[in-house]
Amino acid sequence: MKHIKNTISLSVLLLMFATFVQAQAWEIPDGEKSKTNPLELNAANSEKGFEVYQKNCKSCHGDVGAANFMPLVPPPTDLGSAAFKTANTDGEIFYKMTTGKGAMPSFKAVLSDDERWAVIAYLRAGDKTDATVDKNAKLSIVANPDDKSISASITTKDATGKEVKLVGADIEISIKRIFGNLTIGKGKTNATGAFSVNLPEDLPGDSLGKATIIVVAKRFKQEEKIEIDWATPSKHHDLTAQASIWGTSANAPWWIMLLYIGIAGSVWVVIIYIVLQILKIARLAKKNV
Amino acid sequence: MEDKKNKKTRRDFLKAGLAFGAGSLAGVGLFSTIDGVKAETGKLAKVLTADGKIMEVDTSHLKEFGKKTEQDLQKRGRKGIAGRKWTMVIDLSKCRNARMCMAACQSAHELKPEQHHINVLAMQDAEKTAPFFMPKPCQHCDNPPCTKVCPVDATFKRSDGIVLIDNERCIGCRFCIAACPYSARIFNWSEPKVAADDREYDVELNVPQKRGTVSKCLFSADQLRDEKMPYCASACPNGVYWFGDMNEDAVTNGTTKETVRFSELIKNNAGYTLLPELGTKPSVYYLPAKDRLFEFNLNGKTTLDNNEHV
Repeated sequence: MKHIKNTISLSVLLLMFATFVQAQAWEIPDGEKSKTNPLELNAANSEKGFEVYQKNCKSCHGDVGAANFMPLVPPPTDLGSAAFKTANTDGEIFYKMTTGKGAMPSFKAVLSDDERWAVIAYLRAGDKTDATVDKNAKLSIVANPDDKSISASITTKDATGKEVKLVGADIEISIKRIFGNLTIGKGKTNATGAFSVNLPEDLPGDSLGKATIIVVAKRFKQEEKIEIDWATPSKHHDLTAQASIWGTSANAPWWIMLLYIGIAGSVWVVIIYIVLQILKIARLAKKNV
Repeated sequence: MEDKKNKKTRRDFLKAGLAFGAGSLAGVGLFSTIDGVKAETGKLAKVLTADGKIMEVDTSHLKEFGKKTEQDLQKRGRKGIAGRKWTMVIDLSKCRNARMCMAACQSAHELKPEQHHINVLAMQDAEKTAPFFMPKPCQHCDNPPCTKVCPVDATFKRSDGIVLIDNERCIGCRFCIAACPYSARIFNWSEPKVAADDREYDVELNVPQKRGTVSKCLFSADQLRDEKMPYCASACPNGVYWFGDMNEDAVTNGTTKETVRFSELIKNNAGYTLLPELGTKPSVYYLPAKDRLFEFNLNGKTTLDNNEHV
């Protein structure tokens, strides 16, 4: 009976707490509410916003529109839902990100104004960025060992069916590392339709200088890989191979081994010598009796 | 008579010498058995090979296909993963004491709530300085004081930089606990949370835990073997942990999966190591608690008491 009482009172308390938390509305100054996004609603800003979102917002709010946010109380909203987007102006979202409240942290010190506006651009743009994917687009990579550069270009077919290289297409070039891809260059293809980066000299491949380069053209949904063998070989310093005083005798420094065996050996020699001398005395004693 | 007596003594001496020699040989034999050389049983068992032939082998050489024996696990656990040098970067500005890292670690290594391979500490250096939360795993030193004091070679450094402990060898002397300047090691005072059943002991997981032995953070060596990030790093909801291979000069964030250059991350954020004056050369780096995402809040307290300053 007592147990049931406890449960009921606890749930009532929790319910009260939950309503209290929900009832605490954001108080947003009018001046902030009417602010509009200074960034243009284009694919570039949206992509920038997407990157910021992935790094800073996703861990609590989940994927935009997927409603897979963290099960917290109060729940973090799905920022892609129509309800959220219609209920909040750009200025309101910006203010919330800037100041934070309760479990929502303030991003004032972490993200620049531009980055925060870019997230709003991403939220507002939604699926507009995936408008049409050019089916003819083809990504190609050229790796040049001489100047250690990687060059990528996108070819497509024009109205007459002729192959042309795209100018100004976004390309990201990265190198494969164990837990993810490290971006080494990001930009647009130039007038000749190529985007190239130099592999930094101090960025190592494996011990033989091999590495996998990954080139992504996100807007064309294209990804290509290329293996190179001219990266700087990584220097692996095997700490256990060198002579050390750590636990095992297998790689103890030779002078310690020599000293130890020498000392232990000479102690044994002395002991054996003494024992032999004692025996000799005993033998002599018997002989002389 | 006297001669005879004399001879007898000499013979006794020789006998004693022989017995000593035999004893040492037996001792060596015993140790070699421990090291994994099994004696042949003389019994033959029939086995079917992959190409359909029936063969006979000594039963001492039989082992189940695909199943790793304890000896296999020990052998690979001692060696480390070739060509790697693991490193962790802990960003203190992101930590808000969520303790998900600790929960993930304790569940993976079957630890009790009071046992920590990684612990989140509330830190404040002095009265006027800002308090912060500091997750503290084993620092996996490149010049480890703990491995040097182990009298039985139970704790060791691997080629990939990880410091491990073999609970099958550990005699529970706790010299390593005394030697570690980071208090990274724990002792199993009581029976472990999950009893040892017929599972093989994995030196890269320290599971099953064993009473009367020392246990410690393993950088999730079993996860790294599968090219997965450590338990703590992937459980963090706030992006505190970066983990990677220093030979590749890259670390990946456990939460956002973003990959950056290790050297640049340390350089741009003034990364540091704990107690560098001891010359232990830790593999764990810290980024100072600057531009924080969350205010310090420890059960409602926004600052620590005077006696808690370290």
